Amino acid sequence: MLDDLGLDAAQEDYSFAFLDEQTKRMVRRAILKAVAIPGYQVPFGDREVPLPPGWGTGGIQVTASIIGRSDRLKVIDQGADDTTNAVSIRRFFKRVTGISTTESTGEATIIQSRHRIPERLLEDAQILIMQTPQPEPMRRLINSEEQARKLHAFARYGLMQVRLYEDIARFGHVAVSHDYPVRVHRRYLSSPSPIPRFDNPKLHRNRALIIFGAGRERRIHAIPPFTEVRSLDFEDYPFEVQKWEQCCALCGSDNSYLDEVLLDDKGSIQFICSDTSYCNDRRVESRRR
Amino acid sequence: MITSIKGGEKAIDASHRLLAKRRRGNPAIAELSVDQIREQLTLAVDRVMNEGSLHDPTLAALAIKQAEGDLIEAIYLLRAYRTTIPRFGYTKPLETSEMIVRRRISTTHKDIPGGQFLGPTYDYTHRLLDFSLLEEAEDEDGLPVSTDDTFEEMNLCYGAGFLSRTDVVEAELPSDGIAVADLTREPMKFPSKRDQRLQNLTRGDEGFLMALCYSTMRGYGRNHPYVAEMRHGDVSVVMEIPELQFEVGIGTVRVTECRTIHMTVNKPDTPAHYTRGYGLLFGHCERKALSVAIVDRALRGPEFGEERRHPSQDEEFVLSHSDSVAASGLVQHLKLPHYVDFQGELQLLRQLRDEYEKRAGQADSAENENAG
Amino acid sequence: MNDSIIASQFREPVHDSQATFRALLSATSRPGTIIDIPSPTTSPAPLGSALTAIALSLLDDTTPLWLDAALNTDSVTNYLRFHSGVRTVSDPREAMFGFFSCADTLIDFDRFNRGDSFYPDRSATLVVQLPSLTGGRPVSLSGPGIETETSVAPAGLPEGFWTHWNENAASYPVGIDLVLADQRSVLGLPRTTKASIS
Repeated sequence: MLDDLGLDAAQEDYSFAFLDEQTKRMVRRAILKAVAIPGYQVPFGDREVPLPPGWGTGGIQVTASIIGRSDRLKVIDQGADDTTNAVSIRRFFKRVTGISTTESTGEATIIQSRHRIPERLLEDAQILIMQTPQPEPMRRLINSEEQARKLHAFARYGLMQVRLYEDIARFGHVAVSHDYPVRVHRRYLSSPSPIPRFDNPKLHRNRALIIFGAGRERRIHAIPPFTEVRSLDFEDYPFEVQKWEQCCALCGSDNSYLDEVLLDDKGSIQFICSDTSYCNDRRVESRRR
Repeated sequence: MITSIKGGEKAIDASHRLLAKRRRGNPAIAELSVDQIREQLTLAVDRVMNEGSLHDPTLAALAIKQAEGDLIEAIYLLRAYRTTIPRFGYTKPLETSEMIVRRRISTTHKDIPGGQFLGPTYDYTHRLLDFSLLEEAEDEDGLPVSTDDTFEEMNLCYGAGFLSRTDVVEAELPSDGIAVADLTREPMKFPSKRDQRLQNLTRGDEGFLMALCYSTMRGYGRNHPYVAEMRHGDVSVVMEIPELQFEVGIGTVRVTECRTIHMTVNKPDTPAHYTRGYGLLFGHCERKALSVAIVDRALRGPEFGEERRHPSQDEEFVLSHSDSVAASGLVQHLKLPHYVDFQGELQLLRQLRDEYEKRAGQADSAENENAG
Repeated sequence: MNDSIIASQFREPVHDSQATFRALLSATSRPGTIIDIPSPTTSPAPLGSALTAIALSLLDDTTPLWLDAALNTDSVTNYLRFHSGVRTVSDPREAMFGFFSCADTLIDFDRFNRGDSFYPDRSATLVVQLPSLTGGRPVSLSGPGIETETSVAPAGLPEGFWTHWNENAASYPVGIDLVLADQRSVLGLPRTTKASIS
């Protein structure tokens, strides 16, 4: 019976990059419009892929639509290549494309990431694809899609300014640690995806193309290279990034985003780079010296 | 075909015979045994035990078989059975810190004291139909092929103490020996207490709770959850025997425990800190445990001065509609005959229509007079 | 109808479509950069190789296509319908894509859908065949995707084109997007790109 259906259990013959060609064309057209309108969320027809919605299906569909045989793919989650979700997505692409993968930021042509932008400066030939749970920055203030679209149409973002200013009035600063809203190309208010505020400045005039894929919410938005990206702030309360008093316990870096490591139950902690490729590169380099 | 009340008895008997026939399916195919369901459909069994409020994998499997895989029907079967069994006493609270862990993860740190154990999970499987499962693995004699892949179980006993090590996380409630409410014996009271709520949520419909939890994540009452710890494994059940005046272990149960932490800054008189959500369930059911923990936190809003604006934060809405047995019962009761009610209403409707037409006629003639 | 044309498109449809798309992605994200694109094995004259590749890579039965008078021939429409299932339309307002055999009639963008402020993505993409992407009158481009400024000199654009282009750019975020192509390569002009004529 299975033979009739053309399903052969032994032979796994998926289309290159899993998606069918028509789906790829649809995603590709959406990506091109997203690049042409920086920060604007282009609706697209999300498909079910073998990983669940909310685990990076938007990023996966973008990657699947742009990846080619000569690409080298890097997948990170929380900055690390060895986290389970990153391993799972990397394996998926290996299986359905057969292309080579890498853990080194410098060697990758496509980097799919969740929640971090690599510390190493990206290059012109690279494309960064961000997995995005909620692409609508206004969603935390208003539930209605219709209302949010209206605010984007008229670029009325006062509500967000008020929300941030309320924080300042209450706490003396803006209390948003990640997914900090940005204004792209002086027009659209956008979600940078849940990257820490620390990574926001990297969006500004980055050399690489950055594409954000939100599968469950069916939106793609993009930031082309060298595009002005400003984190919302106020003249008297300028935008600030997270800072640590400690350095990385492994490579000594004092300018990277650090993870807290619990050493025991008594409260002993250490800090190490969240970006594993960056940390490795630094350690290899210092050994060479 | 419903013809008359007198035919009812015959109709019911015939219906049940049809049901039994359908349940058996094609008689040329081997019958499904309760053991098979218990051993091979364990996650369905776990769901039925949770929402059925009874830990008995064999009976839960029987219920699934009897209900042809309709889990809500199976849950009801188990609940009804539960009514018939006497209560011998109460066990001590489960010591989940002494769990023999099969799986344990924390999302707040890359590594945690005691370690992260991925264990059995569908999380990182690729959702591709495995056609090899279409073939049953049997040896020459038609017996199942034995597999020697025995996984060594992890013998980890580790508390979730790492969470409490700093002052930023709300203290966990102590085991203070205060009697906890029992919804199977007393009704829900509003405003509710957390023990009642947690019991209600544990018994609640997985889909309903998951949708509520999802709504909080899409802006309808955001509560910023992190999974501080999700663990799954076996814990001993210990009972104090009053006559003997000592504690005895009466067995183990497999459970899933979820601790979420939520950044909370609302009250002006307390510093910002993490507050907790909690879910503890039978078997392996992380989706449900997460939903319970996050809805638990949503319902704790008043403790932290949060405004009640969304469905997930409204305890009466959530707790009064969570029970799948109650919900299924009332929804399906719409299939009962209602012709007495309908007749009464139809009469009222006709009366209203007559009155409407009379008024419309009067208005028309008044208009004509004015026009003329 | 030429059977050999009907029978052949990309040598490797999946991979050549991907490479064509990546070229368009580079062109759109780095306006002013001239990017090579793969050639199909044949293309139905007067539809050039680059335009054929773009059609094969992006068009299907969900993307109404407008063709200018020179391209609107049986051989072109049969080829495109056979390989991509695309439907051609005569009203430019209905088109998601517009293909031009040359830039002479390009001047009037407003005939095409420019999107609206609620859905600026619903605007048309116009693809224009030029004799060459170099050798014309130089202009300087700026905008997203361009580090500071970049100079381009596509040949064959009509008089007043860049003024008109800047009007399109000024109505951002609505506006049409443009791809200029010669036989082998493309140059992207998304609506964010502004031109200054020296």
